[in-house]
Amino acid sequence: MAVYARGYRPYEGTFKSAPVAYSIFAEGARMALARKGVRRIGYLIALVFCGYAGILYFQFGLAETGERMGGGAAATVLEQLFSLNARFREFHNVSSLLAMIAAVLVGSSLIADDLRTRALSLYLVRPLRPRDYMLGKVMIIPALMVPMMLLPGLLLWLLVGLWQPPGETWTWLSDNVDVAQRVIKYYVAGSISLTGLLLLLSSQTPRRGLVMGLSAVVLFGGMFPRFVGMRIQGVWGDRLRALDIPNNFTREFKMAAPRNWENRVLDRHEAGIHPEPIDAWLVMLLLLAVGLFLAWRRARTVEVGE
Amino acid sequence: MSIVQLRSLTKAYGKRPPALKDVTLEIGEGVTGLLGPNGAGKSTMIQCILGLLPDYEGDATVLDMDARTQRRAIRRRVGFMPEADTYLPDMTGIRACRYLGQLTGLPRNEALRRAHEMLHHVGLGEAIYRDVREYSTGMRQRFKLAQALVHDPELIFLDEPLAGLDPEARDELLDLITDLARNHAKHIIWSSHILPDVQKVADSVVVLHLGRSRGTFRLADLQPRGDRYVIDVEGELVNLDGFAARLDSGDIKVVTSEDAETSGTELVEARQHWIVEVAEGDGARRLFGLARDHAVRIRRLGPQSESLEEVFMRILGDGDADAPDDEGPI
Repeated sequence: MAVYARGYRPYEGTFKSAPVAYSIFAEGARMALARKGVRRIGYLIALVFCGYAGILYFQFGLAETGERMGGGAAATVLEQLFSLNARFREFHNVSSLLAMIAAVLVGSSLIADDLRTRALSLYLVRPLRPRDYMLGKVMIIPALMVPMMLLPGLLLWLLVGLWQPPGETWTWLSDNVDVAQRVIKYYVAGSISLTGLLLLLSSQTPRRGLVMGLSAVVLFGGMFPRFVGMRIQGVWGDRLRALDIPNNFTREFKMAAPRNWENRVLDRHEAGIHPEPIDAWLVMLLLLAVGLFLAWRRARTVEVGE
Repeated sequence: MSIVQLRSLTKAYGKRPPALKDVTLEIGEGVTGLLGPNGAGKSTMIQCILGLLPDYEGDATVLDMDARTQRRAIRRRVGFMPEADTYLPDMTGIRACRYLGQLTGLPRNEALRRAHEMLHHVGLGEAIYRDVREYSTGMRQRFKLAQALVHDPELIFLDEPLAGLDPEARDELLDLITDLARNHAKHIIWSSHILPDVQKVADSVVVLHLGRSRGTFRLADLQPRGDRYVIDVEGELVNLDGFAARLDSGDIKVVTSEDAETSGTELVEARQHWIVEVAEGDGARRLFGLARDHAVRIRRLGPQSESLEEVFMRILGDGDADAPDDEGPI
């Protein structure tokens, strides 16, 4: 028995008015997660997370041992070696690098693939607006960054809270709620920066390799103006430092070490390492605005794509 | 009823000369061939009508809706099979077709059902789970037709649908398109520069040349040529050859000849399809006389209509490119 009718059959059902942008996003996210490279990076982040969670768990045993020994030099050395603050930063340094690679893998084909395969003429003859296409594409990278940037950071914070002595978990979590807030800010900033950059580049060329190359240049090349900016005080120094896009979002977790952890050394704006938050956010939002505009403009016509 | 109405449609790409210049025309129901040589503005016209090229001058109405302000409502009721080799990256045929159905507003389950049906209908039943990227040219043409039909549109735009296909695949796709028009009451606007294909299916034709409309006409109105006849002749090959030679030595010329059927081994009996040109008025009577003399049977004889190709060439050859539009019937 045939499951589906053969021959042409008129459609007698209804048309729904569900948001088209969601369909584009859902399909894009599914395809992003189906990429082998992205899946491998996801596994790697999970592995790194397990490793650091294990180290942090082990660290509490050392801290307790140090306390039983009555403090002293040996305990201090052990605490320095296994500094919670340092582990926390290291984990985010590693995971943010992996997340960036995953974002570039996915983002390089966000619109470029549609240009290469001329798929825009299939999209644009559907009853969707340019902004539906743009919104559908724009949500893909933030969705991908949830399991790569947001969840591991929040989970690590939660685990450290759970490993506190009995009865102190909620106290610790509420004392260090700013860590969770920083992790969320780090995720938001990272999503904005990477989405803006990749939309911008991907909407300009059908060549995926070129998008990946340019993304790498922008993401890693930004450290040079930052180094120059570190030697310049004032507004221009901040602006130069704000050109280092990864630093604009990693700075969020670099200032997120828990208050009652040992060896807490926060990077400070005054030290001239990071830009002023306002400059960093301006650069990130500007990048997103330009990316959104170019994606929207691209979805208005097939003229250039054809 | 007019399906598409264009008034003073003009479209230019950048600073280049306009691809469409002040085109005013009406397209009626049924199958309409949009004809013109390469660069005539056929694809540009379709893309303007569908709103794929938003920056144009003039007005366009599709299914009584304004192409500028009611673009989304129009797109729900039309299907488009683009000329370019286009597909959704990293998707199987069924997924891509379902996804495009969803984007047109079909609920997910209905979109999946329609995608299955349409892919089977166009003959891709065995390949629906293969990545579209792996499809051959013919399969991609079929896929493009399936995605244009997935939401059951009233009006279908086909931009060079038979391009790049082998003769067998052309015939199959031609049959599918004919079936849609004849048995499912779809209005079809078919852009092509391959005239015989269009002539087989189209009810009327619009001719574009150098971005201008050069006229519209119904194929049923093609005038019979007074000097040419189509005849089917039957007899032994040797007699047919003698008959043809006799005709050519007189004032009747065999313009084309093709074998329709051949049988037998020693005395070969054949049936042939000829087009003959007769110089004077009573050619038909003389044809019958000569046929009797050569023991050849004439099974059919009728006046030959002017072919679409001849009309097309005549239209292109008439006024020069800068002449004003000829908007009326030819």
